Amino acid sequence: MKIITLLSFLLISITSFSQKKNIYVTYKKDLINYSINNKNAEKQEAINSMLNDLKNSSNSLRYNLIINDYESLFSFEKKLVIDADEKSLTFIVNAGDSGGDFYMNTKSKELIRSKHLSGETFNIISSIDSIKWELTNESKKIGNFDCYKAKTIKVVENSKGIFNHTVEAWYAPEIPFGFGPAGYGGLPGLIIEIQYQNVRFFTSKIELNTKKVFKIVKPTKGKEVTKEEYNEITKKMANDFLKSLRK
Amino acid sequence: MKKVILGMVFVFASLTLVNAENESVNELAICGEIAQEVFDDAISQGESYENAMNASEAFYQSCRWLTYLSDFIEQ
Repeated sequence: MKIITLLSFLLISITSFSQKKNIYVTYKKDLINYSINNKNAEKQEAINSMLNDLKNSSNSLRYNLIINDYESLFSFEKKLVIDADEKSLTFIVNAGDSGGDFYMNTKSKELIRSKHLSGETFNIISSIDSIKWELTNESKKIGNFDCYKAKTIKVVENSKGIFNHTVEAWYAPEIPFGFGPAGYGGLPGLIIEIQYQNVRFFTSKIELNTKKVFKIVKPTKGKEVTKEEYNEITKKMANDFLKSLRK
Repeated sequence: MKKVILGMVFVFASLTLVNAENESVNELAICGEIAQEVFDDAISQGESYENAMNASEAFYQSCRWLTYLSDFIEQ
């Protein structure tokens, strides 16, 4: 009888230990220090006015990060009603290259950004290991969590050259899941806040062991491309758009 | 006399229409200029082509909308 009790206890322990952890994180996004410069004073005034409207709309954006043990999916919460036209919404949602769905797998090290563009879906393939973090001892409290600062470089290549943008992330080792927003991850804890170029993501809600039911599906439908190939595709699209304005 | 008045009305209406057409063509060109300049500035700041294009398209659309609104208010 004792053996049966012991076996049952062991079985229950193993089952609860092997049960998947579901975490649901909500992030908000700010457009910070975003400026567009124009030499003409009248145009600059018009641009500033339009930019202010866009910044105000960006305050209501929400992104969700769902975590299931070793996989995560980060995406924009589409059901929200935002007071902005389609193009403005596309701009603010994508600012900081954060548009689309980001799939991460810490076992296979896969990082896939699935992006719908001009009627086609692209799966931009890279690896979590391609992000080289510099961990620092600098710490601060964000909400209830002790967070540590980590830094990396985001490289952007365009017709004006190669730009190295500093990325500053604050992660919480108390939540030992190496995920975060917009394809950033691989740290020894959840990214609570991250800032790069002119965007800042910050957590507005963290639900550990949430009862919410979700399934993380690796994006497979679409054309697989590398970051470099995607850059070339968007370069061509941008040139076509600018040409259409001159007609 | 009737013919003269009718003729004057026709000339006035035609001129107004041509003027309005020129104005909207001009405003369209200004929106195009703004879109190009927004794109160039974003590229200079080290934005990706995708982000620069999104910014450019958003400003072009906002500019067109504001132009449409101001035309509507003037009417």
